[in-house]
Amino acid sequence: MIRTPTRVLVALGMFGLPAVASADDLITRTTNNYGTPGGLIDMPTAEVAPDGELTTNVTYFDGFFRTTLSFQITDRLSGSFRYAGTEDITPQFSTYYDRSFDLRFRLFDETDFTPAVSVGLQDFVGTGLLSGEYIVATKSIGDRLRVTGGLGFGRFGSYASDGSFGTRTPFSFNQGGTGGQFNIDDWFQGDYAFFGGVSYQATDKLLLSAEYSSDNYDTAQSAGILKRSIPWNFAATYQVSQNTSLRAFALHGEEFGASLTFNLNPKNPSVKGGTELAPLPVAVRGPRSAEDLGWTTQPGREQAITASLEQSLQQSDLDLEGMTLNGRSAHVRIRNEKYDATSQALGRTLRSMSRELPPSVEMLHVTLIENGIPASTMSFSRTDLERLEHRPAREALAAARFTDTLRFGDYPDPFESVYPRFEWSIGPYLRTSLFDPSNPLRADIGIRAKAKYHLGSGWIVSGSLGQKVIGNLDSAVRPNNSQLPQVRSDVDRYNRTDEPFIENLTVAKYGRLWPDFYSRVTAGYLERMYAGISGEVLWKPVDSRLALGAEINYTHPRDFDQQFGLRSRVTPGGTIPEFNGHVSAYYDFGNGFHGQIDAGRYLAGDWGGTITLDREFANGWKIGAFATFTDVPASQFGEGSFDKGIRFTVPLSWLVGTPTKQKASGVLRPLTRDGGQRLEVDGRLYDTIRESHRPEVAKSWGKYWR
Amino acid sequence: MTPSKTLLLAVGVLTALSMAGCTNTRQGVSVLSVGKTLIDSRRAQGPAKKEIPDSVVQREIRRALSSSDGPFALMQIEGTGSVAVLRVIETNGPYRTWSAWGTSERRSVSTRGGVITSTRGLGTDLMSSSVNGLLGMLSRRQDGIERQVLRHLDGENQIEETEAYCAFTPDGRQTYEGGALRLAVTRIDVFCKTDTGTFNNYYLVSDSGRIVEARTWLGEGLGYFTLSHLR
Repeated sequence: MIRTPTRVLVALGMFGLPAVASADDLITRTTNNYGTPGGLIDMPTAEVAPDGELTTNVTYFDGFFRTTLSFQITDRLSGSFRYAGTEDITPQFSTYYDRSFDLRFRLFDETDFTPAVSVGLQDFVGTGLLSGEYIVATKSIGDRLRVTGGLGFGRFGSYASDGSFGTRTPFSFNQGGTGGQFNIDDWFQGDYAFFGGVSYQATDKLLLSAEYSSDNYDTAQSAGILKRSIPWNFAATYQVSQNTSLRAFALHGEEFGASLTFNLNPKNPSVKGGTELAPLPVAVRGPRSAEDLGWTTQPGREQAITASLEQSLQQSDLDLEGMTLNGRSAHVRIRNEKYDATSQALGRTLRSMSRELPPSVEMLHVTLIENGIPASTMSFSRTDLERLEHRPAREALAAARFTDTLRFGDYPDPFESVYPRFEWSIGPYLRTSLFDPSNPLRADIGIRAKAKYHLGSGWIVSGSLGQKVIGNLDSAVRPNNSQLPQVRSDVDRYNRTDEPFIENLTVAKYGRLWPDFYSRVTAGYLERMYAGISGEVLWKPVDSRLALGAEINYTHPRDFDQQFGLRSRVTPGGTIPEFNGHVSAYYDFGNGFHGQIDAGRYLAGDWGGTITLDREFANGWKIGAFATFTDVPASQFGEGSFDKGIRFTVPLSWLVGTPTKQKASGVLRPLTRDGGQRLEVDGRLYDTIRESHRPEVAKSWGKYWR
Repeated sequence: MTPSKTLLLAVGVLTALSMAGCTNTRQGVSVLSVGKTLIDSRRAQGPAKKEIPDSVVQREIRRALSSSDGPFALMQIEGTGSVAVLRVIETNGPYRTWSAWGTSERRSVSTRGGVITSTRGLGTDLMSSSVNGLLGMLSRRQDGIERQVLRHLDGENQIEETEAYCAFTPDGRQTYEGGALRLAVTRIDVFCKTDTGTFNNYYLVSDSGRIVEARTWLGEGLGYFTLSHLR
């Protein structure tokens, strides 16, 4: 123990040190039985989850199951996607499956005297079995008790209604519609009722809740599958581990059930800052050594410097592809296959340069190469590098200059050894099919071999070959009643092959047309369903958060066995057109959100646009949603009315704690139909070059000195 | 805060299925290495403290000192019980970067005036610190209050600053013995307060103002490090 004199403590107190923060702003990591953040049971609260939190909740009670994925999109806004199944609720199905989306927005934060207030929409697109809207207030009393009261419509206004407002279309299994519509006319309409509840944090791990529920379970009661004796629900939630909680609950004095919640926050990687080994330190030049240009006349010196720099970069898993060196400056051409934080690749490159280049070299330029084309050039003065090594990282960002490589001027040619280059990988794959009513989860596991042959600057031949090992995707047999050219709905037939299949086999040419302009042409078997030619142009200045692109594709459907053959364009729903394509705008709002708009012609020949909004975390996590609206009417589109879904990207470095550019990405669609479908082609330009541009590099600049 | 082991396992299994098993590229984090990470994280239930006998440490110190005339220091990490003899691998103005002597392992710490200002390759690294005020206070060997700033990376690779207000208290004279050094020093206890907690450092300062030993807190992940100069 170290003695701490009282007067020191008094002095520290007088310094006005900030007290340990106690206000948690009604944050919770628990979810209710609908999987939305909150400590009650069926009823919502005005609590929020920590910013960025992802929760998965599985709830079950006699004949009812719900799986909900919730995301705290901002500190005020949360969104949920739910898949619910109910047994025997309608004679049409033994189990009625339903997908639903929720949104909730915190209007007012809690103050000392007023509660937090939120407004929410439950099941606001779709067929509406769970539809309800509410305005809810929650107030904490002390550290452990939270009291909630609210006013609900729809389901939340179905028991002991206190009044009615306007008219609301009642829920029916026989609406005949295609679902997927926004039921705006019904929001906050019809009967309303008050609800309320309390939650009490009994111990650090145990939360007790009680609520008065205004949900009458009308449909379930009339189907005779649920009885409701009292309006009260009770629950005990136990925090099993930091990210897992288990709940037992009693509903309406009749039903008992359990739910399990998993929490995950993209802001919490396995190891903050990573566990990769130390970089080389900056080598500082001796005083006046920079004046010595004698080395420039020594024969063979440049080759020796190049070789030692190449070796030094190898230690950091970076590839030197070329270099030009003169008395006062050096320019290197770098391929970074390792560091997902580009700033780290740049920082390590520059430190290697400081150790290997003669002292007279003052200006250091690094051109990053992506798919064989220059993506950006970063310049840094060696004096700054020496001066700022132990300073806060932001000072180095101010000293770094990013330029479009073509605008910068000449850049080094690749060494002869760079091309041709062969890359391969072999690994497992997982392919899933979700939400089929006859079997909501199907999957195939197989093995996949990929190869890439880099022929020359920007020329890449690549292919991917797969073989299913085990799985039940082939058991899906859904009649295809699509009224559109069947561009995606034949997926079952593509899944049915037991032979090796070619996922893609293409030759691509990447290029730089002018400063700020990038180009790509890809030809061959572009994806599992289509072959053809895809051409793309992208405009993106190196320090811009805006990019504009255009893509045009000539496509032909591939045979279902996904080998070399093609099949007829004619399908029962119509003929698949030859051309499709889009113009796109990409914008990084700079506050963690990224928007994308694509407008053009989709695979089935339908015209329209896709809007995508992603929450992007600086460590590489992305969670977003998209919706596509085309000139196909809902009746022709079929179930779901329009194409929509959720997409996510998980950087592997977040999980393993060391740098890698590998990531796992996925798209979750409630339903895949034929309207609003785009071609899936590998290596689109925006994602290829974006990481090398200043806005992205600056986001993770903290890793520059790591 | 780190995700729980079960969650890591679940996410890991899912991601493992979406990546390469083996490859000739640098991107290759293979299924095996993810598996290993998961196993390691499951094993790491509370850090197992290593007990290294003092005789072994003293022998290493003697070997190091006889190997060259350069500066050496002994670093002890309280959280893991690790001990290492360090040598200087680079100097940048008032900063020195140290790495373990006798190995080529790429982990390093940098110091200024004998105080650790950054670490690399240890996980949850200290990226940089501001210690000007602290060094001034130590050189005067008086009591008083100074500010210190520690910078780490947060979960999104953003620099997160921890500002500490520290009270300095000279706490008597003693004799310091370490490696080739034997001299009279003043012990200065330092009590620091941050927004979220407190920590206790101490420094041994010679009459000429040299800091020969420092026990410093380097952040929540790293904990306390003691650096003792040997020459």
